[in-house]
Amino acid sequence: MWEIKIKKEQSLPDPVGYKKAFDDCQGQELRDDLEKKAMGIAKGGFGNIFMIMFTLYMTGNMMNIFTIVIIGQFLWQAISTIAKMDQAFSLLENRGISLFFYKLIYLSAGLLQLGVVLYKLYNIGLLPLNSADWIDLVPLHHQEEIVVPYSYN
Amino acid sequence: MLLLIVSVAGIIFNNVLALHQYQAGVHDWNKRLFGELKYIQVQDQTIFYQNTNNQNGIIDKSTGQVNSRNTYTMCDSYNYVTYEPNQQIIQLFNEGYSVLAEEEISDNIDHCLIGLNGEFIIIYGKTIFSTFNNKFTEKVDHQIIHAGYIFDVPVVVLQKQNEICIYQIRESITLNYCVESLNDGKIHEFGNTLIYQDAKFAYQLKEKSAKLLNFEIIKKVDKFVGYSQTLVITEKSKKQIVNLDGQVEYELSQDEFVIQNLENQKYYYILKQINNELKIVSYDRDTKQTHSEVIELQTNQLILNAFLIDQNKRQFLIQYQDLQTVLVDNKGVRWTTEQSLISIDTVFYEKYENQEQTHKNSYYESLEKHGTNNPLYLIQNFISRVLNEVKDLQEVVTHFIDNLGKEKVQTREMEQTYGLKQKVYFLTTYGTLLCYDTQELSLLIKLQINNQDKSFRLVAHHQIDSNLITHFDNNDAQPTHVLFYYSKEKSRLNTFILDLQHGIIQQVASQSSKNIVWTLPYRVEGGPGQHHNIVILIDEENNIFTYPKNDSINTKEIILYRNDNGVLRGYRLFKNELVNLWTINMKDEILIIRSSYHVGEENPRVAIWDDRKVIYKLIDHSNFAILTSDGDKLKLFIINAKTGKIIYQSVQSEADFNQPINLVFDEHQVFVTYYNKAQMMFEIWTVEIYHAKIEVSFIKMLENYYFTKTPIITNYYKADFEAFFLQQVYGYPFGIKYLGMSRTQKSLTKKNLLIITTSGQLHSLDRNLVSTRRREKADQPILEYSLQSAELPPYQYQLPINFQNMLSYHQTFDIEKFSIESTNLESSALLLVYGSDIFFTRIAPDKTYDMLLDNFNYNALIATTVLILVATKVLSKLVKSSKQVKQFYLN
Repeated sequence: MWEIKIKKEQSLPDPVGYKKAFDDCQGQELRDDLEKKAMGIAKGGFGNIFMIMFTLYMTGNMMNIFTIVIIGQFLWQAISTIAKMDQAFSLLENRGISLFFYKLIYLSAGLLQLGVVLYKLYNIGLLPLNSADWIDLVPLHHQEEIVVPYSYN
Repeated sequence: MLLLIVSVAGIIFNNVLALHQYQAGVHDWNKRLFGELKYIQVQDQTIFYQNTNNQNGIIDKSTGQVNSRNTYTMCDSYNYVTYEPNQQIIQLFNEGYSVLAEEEISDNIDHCLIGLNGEFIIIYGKTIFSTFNNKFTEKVDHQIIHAGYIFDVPVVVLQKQNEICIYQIRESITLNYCVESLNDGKIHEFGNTLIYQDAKFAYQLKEKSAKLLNFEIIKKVDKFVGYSQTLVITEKSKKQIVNLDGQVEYELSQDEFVIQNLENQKYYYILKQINNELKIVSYDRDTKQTHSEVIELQTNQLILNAFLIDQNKRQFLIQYQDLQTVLVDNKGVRWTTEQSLISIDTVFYEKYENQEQTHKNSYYESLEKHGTNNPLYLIQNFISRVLNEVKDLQEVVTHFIDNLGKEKVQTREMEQTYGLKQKVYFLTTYGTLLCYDTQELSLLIKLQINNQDKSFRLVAHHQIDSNLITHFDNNDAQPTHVLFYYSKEKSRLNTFILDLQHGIIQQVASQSSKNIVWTLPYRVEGGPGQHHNIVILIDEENNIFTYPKNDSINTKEIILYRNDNGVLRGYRLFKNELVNLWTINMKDEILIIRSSYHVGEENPRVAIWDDRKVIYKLIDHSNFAILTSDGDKLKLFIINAKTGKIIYQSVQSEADFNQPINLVFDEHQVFVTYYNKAQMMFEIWTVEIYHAKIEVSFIKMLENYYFTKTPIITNYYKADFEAFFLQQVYGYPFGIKYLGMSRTQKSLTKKNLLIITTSGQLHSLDRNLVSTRRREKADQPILEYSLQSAELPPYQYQLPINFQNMLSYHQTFDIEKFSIESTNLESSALLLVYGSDIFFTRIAPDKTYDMLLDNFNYNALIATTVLILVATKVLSKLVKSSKQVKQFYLN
């Protein structure tokens, strides 16, 4: 038994006598297509934001099972969007275009989604960003001396 | 489908069952008391009584229960007068059916008499009112010392300057005669006549004249036996029945009690209690013969008072010196009741020991030993927690299986474990210690404090370690109760030890002493992990002594203060000496002093939050509050006991000092209740003390209390420190007789105000409603650094009353004070209210958030679970066997 392993990361050197031709018209067209596709992936996250905002607005600020499920779902979605950035652009890797700019746009969309969800969490008081959330740190009153009230009689 | 319908029906049935089982106040009980009886009148199954506190009421003859009290005065067996203390209207009833007369009065009714023509005469205070067509209403100038009959003619005896005068009431009030007297005489009914007695004179008051009696004989009288015109006298060790001339008719022993025969003059009944036996002797005056019978009765007390209830059944109502009251007849003891509960000195509680719960939890032990947040023991604690949870679960299952079907046993054990069912001990002024179960109202223990007379008063009750007490046979380190009694007359201090485990009260010391001013429990540290509790006593001459004897009491600073006839003095206890720190001369009369320190209370929280910001209560247990009166002005002072500095003072005018006034100081809040004459309403005056510091940033919170440990207490009584004193006044729609505060185990649950109203109801008032932080208007913007609350409702002078918070429901009681005991559940506490009535209930100031409600139906839960499981299994089998599914798989 044998198998062929193709490692994407380590591109092999071109064979003898072969030369890539990028400067022709066909190469430019392909590059435009790839950039268009990359931009589509990058901007995909923005499309959801209004839907998320509307849904979260509709859930209100009451804590109930539906609010928790919806916010949890959106929170997970925002985190997984950010976490799966490389996976989203995997098809466009090593295709001769720089993905940095598109990834930046993609990331900002993910962060915006996350921001919207966190804002919602803040509004319903689930983010410990208020002084009142840390009230348990304040020590209890402890009286050093014994103070005896007035006469029992 | 059928199965589903059955399931749903089952669930609905169980829910309905649960609702049916729910009853408001299911844990409540109450006991009405008649106390020490002075006079009784019997009619069929009813005993009308008047006690030594001048309360009137009705006792059910068959049960000994008080049916009603203080609402009427009997004229005779058929006619009575009722009155409502609040409405001040009297109504005269004939056999309870028709109102014969109605009038508005301002005093309590003292007497109701019936005149010769069947005309009713009602006396209240100094007013005599005849109801026959409202014939006359006459105010008399002198004190009426007695109203009664001489040979069936209604008379009143008036106390004038150096004489008493007898007036008869017929068509009008006419003077019969006057005789020389002092000013502090007493009248006794004596058959158809009266006997007057003071320190110098003794008369038999007849219709037209008074007969001077032998004063030397009257001085020795124990009891006037009117029908037989004889007297029971005590001289040295002798007790005799004599006539008015002093001729002896019958010799008695000291512990024998004489009852007169109400139907004829032929018999005396003589009662004697010896060694758990009651001996009833009937003495025939003509034949000089005696006939006796013996009834078994468990008491060794002497008879205080006894009444003949029924001649034919030989039925007697007997009160012993400890106020145990029994009804006996020829068939034995009918009922027995403890009436000493009418005068309670102190109340304390003891939790039941639950054998099932005594295994030690190594997880909590580790937390206690190594600290709750110790990272070194994190894994060990985690494993220990899991193992203990498994062990607990195993125990619960075993216990559940063992007691399957014994629902009552399970409930009782559960209640004992969580401290919802405890033992309550009442120490009464009659020297009795009575222990009841808080749930079942059954008398568990009765003990008696002997070896001291009535001049001794309870000074203090504390707990110390029993192994410290010498000559006391108890070697375990369980806390033992110590009672200190002091007699001003005898200048003597008696010390008693109360061993609840063995049911013993033992006198351990008796010493001459000046008046005891302070007693304080003190914990003496004896090395690492060792300590013992003692009691420090300080008398009015500042002599300091301890019980048990101990010389090292200087480990902690002790500040004391007292009111010395209008002069407030603060002291520091240092090296067994009392050093005077400060003195304040109060110009006005001191009404009440209350400390912010409460024995046994947990360390309270300082910080509270309001709309995301943190504000700080200023708590200092060395502060105390004083109420003084100046004309119609009510003044409040808050004084620091360490410095003697008055840190706050304020005044309210138009206060009525004839109405009840209360003062409560709890943590940072002071509550004063009084009647405002101008508003014609009781008011609750709240003063709150806050630090001049509000935290709005969570970063600052972390900085101050996580990364650094900023202390909260500062010397706020110094000039450069700002403390905020807020005050507010609220109108309370009911009258306030007594004010107190609810309390829970860790003081984490919201505390509410507990109010005994003047009409005898018990009300729990939400503390937030009387907060000073309620904003003036609803639309008023709240500034970031303002103490005003965004969460509390806006200010409203008159407090709303939620009748669901009436803890006594629709019932009214004659109650004076209350005692609260925490349970093992933070949400709940036991509340016992006492006075002439005793009322017990459980309270949950902020709802029962840590327990299932009483109406939780376990059966419904189990039945529903089983039904759902069965339905799921059956339906899934049905689905699998259905033709459609088989067809689907085939395709």
